[in-house]
Amino acid sequence: MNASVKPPQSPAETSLVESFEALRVSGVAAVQEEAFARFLNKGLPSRRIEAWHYTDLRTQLKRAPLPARVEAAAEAADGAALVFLDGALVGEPQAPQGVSIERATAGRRLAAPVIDEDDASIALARAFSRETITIRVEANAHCALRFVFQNSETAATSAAHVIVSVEAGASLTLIESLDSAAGAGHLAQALIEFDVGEQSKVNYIRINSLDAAASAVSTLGVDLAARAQFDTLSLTTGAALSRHQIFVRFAGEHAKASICGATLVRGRQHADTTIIINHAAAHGESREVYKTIVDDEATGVFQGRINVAPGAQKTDARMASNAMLLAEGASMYNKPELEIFADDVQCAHGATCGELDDDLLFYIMARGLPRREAEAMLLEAFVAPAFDGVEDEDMRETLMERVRGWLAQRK
Amino acid sequence: MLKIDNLHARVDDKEIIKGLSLSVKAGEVAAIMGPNGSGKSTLSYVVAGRAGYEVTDGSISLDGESLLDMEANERAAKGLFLAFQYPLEIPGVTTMTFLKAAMNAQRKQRGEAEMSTPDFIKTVRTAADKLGIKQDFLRRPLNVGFSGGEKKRMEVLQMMLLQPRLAILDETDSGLDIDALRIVAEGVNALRSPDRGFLVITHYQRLLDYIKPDSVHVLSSGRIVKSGGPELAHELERNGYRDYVADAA
Amino acid sequence: MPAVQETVDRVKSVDVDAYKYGFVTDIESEKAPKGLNEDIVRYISDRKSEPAWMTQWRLDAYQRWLTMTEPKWARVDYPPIDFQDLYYYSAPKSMSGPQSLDEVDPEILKTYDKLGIPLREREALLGIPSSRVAVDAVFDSVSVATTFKAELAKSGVIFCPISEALQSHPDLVRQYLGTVVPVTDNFYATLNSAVFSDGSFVYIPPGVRCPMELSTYFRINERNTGQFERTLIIADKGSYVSYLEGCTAPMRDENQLHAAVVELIALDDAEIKYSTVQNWYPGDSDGKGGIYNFVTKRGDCRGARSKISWTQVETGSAITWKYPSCILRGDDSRGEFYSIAISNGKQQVDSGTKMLHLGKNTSSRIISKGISAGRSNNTYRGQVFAHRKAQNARNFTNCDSLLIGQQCGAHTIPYIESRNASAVFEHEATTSKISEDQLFYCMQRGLSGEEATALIVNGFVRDVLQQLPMEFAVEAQKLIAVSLEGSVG
Repeated sequence: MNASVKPPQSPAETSLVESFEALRVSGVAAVQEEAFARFLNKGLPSRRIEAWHYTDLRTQLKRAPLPARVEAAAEAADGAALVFLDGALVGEPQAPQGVSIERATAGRRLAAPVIDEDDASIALARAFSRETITIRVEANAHCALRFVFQNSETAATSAAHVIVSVEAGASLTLIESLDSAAGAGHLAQALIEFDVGEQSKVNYIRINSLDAAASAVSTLGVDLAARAQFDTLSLTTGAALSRHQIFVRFAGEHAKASICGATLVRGRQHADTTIIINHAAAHGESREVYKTIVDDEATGVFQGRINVAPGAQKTDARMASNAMLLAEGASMYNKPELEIFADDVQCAHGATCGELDDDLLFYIMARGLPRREAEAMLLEAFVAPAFDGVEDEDMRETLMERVRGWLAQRK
Repeated sequence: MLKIDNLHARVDDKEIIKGLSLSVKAGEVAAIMGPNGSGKSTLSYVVAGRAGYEVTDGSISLDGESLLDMEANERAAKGLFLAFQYPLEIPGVTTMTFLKAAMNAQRKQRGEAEMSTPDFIKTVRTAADKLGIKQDFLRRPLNVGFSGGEKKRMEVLQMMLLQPRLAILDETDSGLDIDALRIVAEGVNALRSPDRGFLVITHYQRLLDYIKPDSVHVLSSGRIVKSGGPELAHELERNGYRDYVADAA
Repeated sequence: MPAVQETVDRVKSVDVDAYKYGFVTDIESEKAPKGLNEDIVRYISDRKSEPAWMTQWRLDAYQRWLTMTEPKWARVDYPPIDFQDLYYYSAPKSMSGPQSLDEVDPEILKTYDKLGIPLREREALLGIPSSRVAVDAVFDSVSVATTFKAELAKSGVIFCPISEALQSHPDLVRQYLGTVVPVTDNFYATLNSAVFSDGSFVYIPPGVRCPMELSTYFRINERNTGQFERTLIIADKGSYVSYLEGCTAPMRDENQLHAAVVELIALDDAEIKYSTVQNWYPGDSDGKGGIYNFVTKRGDCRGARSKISWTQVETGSAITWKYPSCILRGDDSRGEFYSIAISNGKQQVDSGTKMLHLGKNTSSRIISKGISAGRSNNTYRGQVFAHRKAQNARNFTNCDSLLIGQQCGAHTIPYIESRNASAVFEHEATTSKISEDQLFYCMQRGLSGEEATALIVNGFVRDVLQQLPMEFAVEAQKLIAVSLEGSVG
C-alpha cells in the first residue's frame, strides 16, 4: 500500500504547517527541518496506524496553535528546578552537586535507539524542539531534580527535548509537573530520554495537571544498562487529549523497571498511555501497574506491550491494567500485548474493566456514608496500589491528595 | 545394591560432591545426615540423574549396573525412586492419570505388561487408604494446592505403587507435623523388605526415631566424614555438626 | 484416563515425519480450468444447477473481491498468492452430485476409511450408541456422502450438502446465507462467496434437540486446488445441535489454499456447539508445503438466551488465520471460545476470537492455550467489545502460552474495548515454559522426556479438552502428542 494516495491534510495538519512556518521565521536547525519533513511524509497518526488505533490524532486533534514567541528574559528558577515555559527552558538553571546541565541546539540523540523514530508524533516533537537539554548525573552522585513545565495564557504549540544521562552507580530522583493556564488550547509536546548507566537508579514521578483545554503528546525513552533500576510513576488528570508513550529497553542484564500510573479523566477527556517494554537482555524484571478511572463521556486507553527478544532468558515481566468506568458514556480501551521469543521466561498480563461493586457500595452506605463518599473511598482504594512503589511517604501522600481532590470534584 | 565410589559432581561449574563413597545393601536402611549446604540434595539429584548435575569422576551403580549413562526415566525403571524434598505441581494432570502413566511407563521399559485399569484403581485406593489420603485427592491435579504434608504423603503413595529397589528419601520430614511424620514413616516402614534398600537423607535425628536406620553416615562438604550405627545419629543430635564441619574444613 | 497412555504410545510409535494423513487418493477428477474470472464463477454455479439469484450473488461477490486487498495485519508471513494459478473447482469424476452411499467411488470410501471416518451407517451403528455421528464428507470441492440423513429427517433436522440445500430448501438458504458473514466481510470471505463449491447445511427445527452429533469431514486431495467450503447452521428457537469438523490433506510440496466460511445462527433459546479438530497438512519441518488456512467463522446469537460455543484444536496448516467469533445480539445470550493451538516446525498461527457484546446481560468466556515449538510462531489475537447498550456484559478471558524450545515465538494481542460502564471484563494472560523441575520429576517416575512433555502439555490444555465431545477429546489428545513430536531434546 505504499503507493496509496495520501489523504488530504486534516485541519490540524494544516495548522501544524502554519505553526512550523512561524517557527522558521526565528530560525530552525537543519535537523528540525528534516524531522518536520519526515512528519509531513507520514502525517498525523490515525487509527489506521496500529499503535494509534484508539487515539486518532488526525481527527481528534482539532488544530495546533502557533508557537510562542521567544522571550529573552525570564525569572530565575528556584533551587534545582528546570522551568520550561511553553516548552523553552527558562534562564540558566543552577545544577546541583554532581550534575551538569548543557543546552545545545536541537538534534542530539541517545546512543542506542530506544524510541520508535518511525512514529510521526516523535518526528513532530523533534521538529518543534529548538534545543536539546542534556543533563548528566556523574558516576556515583546522588541527587534530586525538578522539571516544571508551564504553559502560558496564550495557546502555543511547543516541544521540549531533554536527555538525562545517569552514569554508573548514580541515583536521581526527578519530579516533573505539567500545568497550563486555564482555557488555553496548547499543544504541549515533550521528548524525554534516559540513559540509565550500570547499577544506577532513577526514580521519576510525573504529574500531568494540564488544563482541560490543552493537548499533550509526550514520549519517554529509557535505555537500561546492566543492573540499572528505573522506577516511574505518572498521575494524569489533565489535558483534553493526552498521549503518553513510554519505551523501555533492557539493554543490560539484571536490570529492573517499574512503570506505574493512574489516569483519572472526566468530561470529554481522552487519555492514552502506551508502553512498550523491550527485554533485549537476560534476567530483566519489569512491572507495570496502571489504574484508570473514567467518568462522564471520557475515554481511557491503555496499551502495553512486553517484547522478549531471543536470548533474553529468565525475563520476569508482569503488567496489570485495571479500569473503572463511572458513567454510562465512559469508554475504556485496553490492549495488553505479549510478544515472546525466549522460552525460559515468566510473563503475564492482566486487564480488567468494570464498575464499582454494588455490594461494597451498599455496605459502606449502610454504615452511614453518603454515596459519593462511599464511592470515593472505594475509588481511592482502587487507585492506591499504583503508588505502592513510591518510597517517599510525603510524595505518596501528595499523590493521594491529588486523587482525593479529583474525586471531590465529581459532580 | 547401591554402590557409590569416589563420586565427584558439580553444578554450574561448582564442585559439590567431592569424592563421596557409600554403599547400601539390600534390606538396609542407610541414613545420611549433614548440615545445610553439605551436598545432601545434590547427592540425591546426582543419583537420580537430573540434568545439569555433572559427574566428573567416580561411579554410581545399582545392582552392579552403572547408572551414569542412563536418563532419569531409565534409572527409575531400574528401580530407583526419589522422594522429593519439594514435590512438583503438575497443573491439569490428575494424580490418578500421573500415577498410571508413571507405572505403565516403567513396566513397559522393563518389558512387562500394563496393569489393567480395575487392578490399578484397586491398588491405588488400597495404598491411599493406608496413608490416609482421601479418594478425592486422586482426582485432583497432582500436588496442585496440596499442603506440604499432603505432598509428602503423595510421594510415599507413589513409592508404594512403584515398588522401587532403592528409595531415596530427600528430607522427607521437612514441613511435616508430628502426625503426618508418623503416617509417612509407617508407610516407609511397611515397605521395608530384605530385597529393598533405603537411603534416608535428613538434617534431624527426629525422622530416625520413626524410621530406624541400620547405618548412619555424616555428609560434610561433599564427602562422607564418618559412618556408624544408629548411635551416631543420637550423638549428632546432642553435639550438632560442629565437629564434622571443622573436620572437613 | 487411558487416553494418556494412548498419547504416550502414539509418541513412541510415530516416526520423525508425524503426519499420517499425507497419502494421496488416486482418482480422476473433473476440474474447472485454472484461474478465476466471471466464467469460472458461472461454471461453478452451473455445475450445481443453482437458482439465478445465487449465481448473481456469487457474481456480485466476485466483483467486490476484485476491489479488495489481502489483509496484512496478521502476524503471518508468506509469499504472494497467485490467485490465477489455482483450480477453483475439482470433483471426483465419478461424482455427478450427491448420491446414495452405494454409488460412492470405492476409492473415496477407502480414503475415509483410512482416515478413520465411518461413512457406512451400518458400521457406525455397530459402535457404542453414544458414538453415533452423522457425517457429511467433503472431498475437494464436493460433498461425496452424508450419512444418517433419513434418520435425522424423522426429527425434522436437515443435514445435507449446501449444494443440495440450494435445491431442496432454497428459501431457507436465501434467508440466512451471508447474514452473519456479509459478502463484503473480508478478502477471503468474499472470495469464498464467489467460488464456494460445497459444505454442509444444517437446520434444526424449533424445540428439537438434534438426536446425534453432526460432523463434516473435509479432505483436500487434488493438487493446486483451493478448497472453499461454506457451512451454514441454523438452530431455530429452543433447539440444540453439536457439530464437529475435521480436516486433513495430502502431503504436497506446494502450498494449498483453504478459505472457508462458516456461519452459525442461533435463535431464541437455541444452542450451537461447534467443535473443530483442524489437522491440515502443516508442511514439512523446513516449512515446505502445507495448507494456508484462511477461514472466517462467525456465530450470531440472534435470539434471546441463545448460546454459541466454539471449541477448536488447531494442530495443522502451514498458516492459520482464523477467528471464530460470536455476535451476542440477543439479550442474555452467551458466547464461548475454547482453543488449543499448537505450532511446531515452521508453522504460523494467528488465531483467536471476537466477542461482540451488543445485547443486554450477554456473557462470554475465552480460554486459549497456545503451544509453540520448533521454529513456529503462535499468536492469540482477540477482541472483546461492549457496545454502549450492552448493559451488564460480562467477559472472562484466559490466554496461556507455553514455549518449547528457544527458536519459537508466542504472542498475545487482545483488544478489550468497553463502552458500557456496567460491563465487566477480565483478562489474564501468561507465558511460560515447561519447567526443568517438572520434567525431571516426571522422568524420575519413569516417563521419557517426550512422554513427560506430552503429559504436562495435556495437563496445560485440559480445560479446553474437557469442552470437546468424548471421541474428539481422545483424538485431540493423540494429535497433541504427535504434533509435538521432535520438539523435545
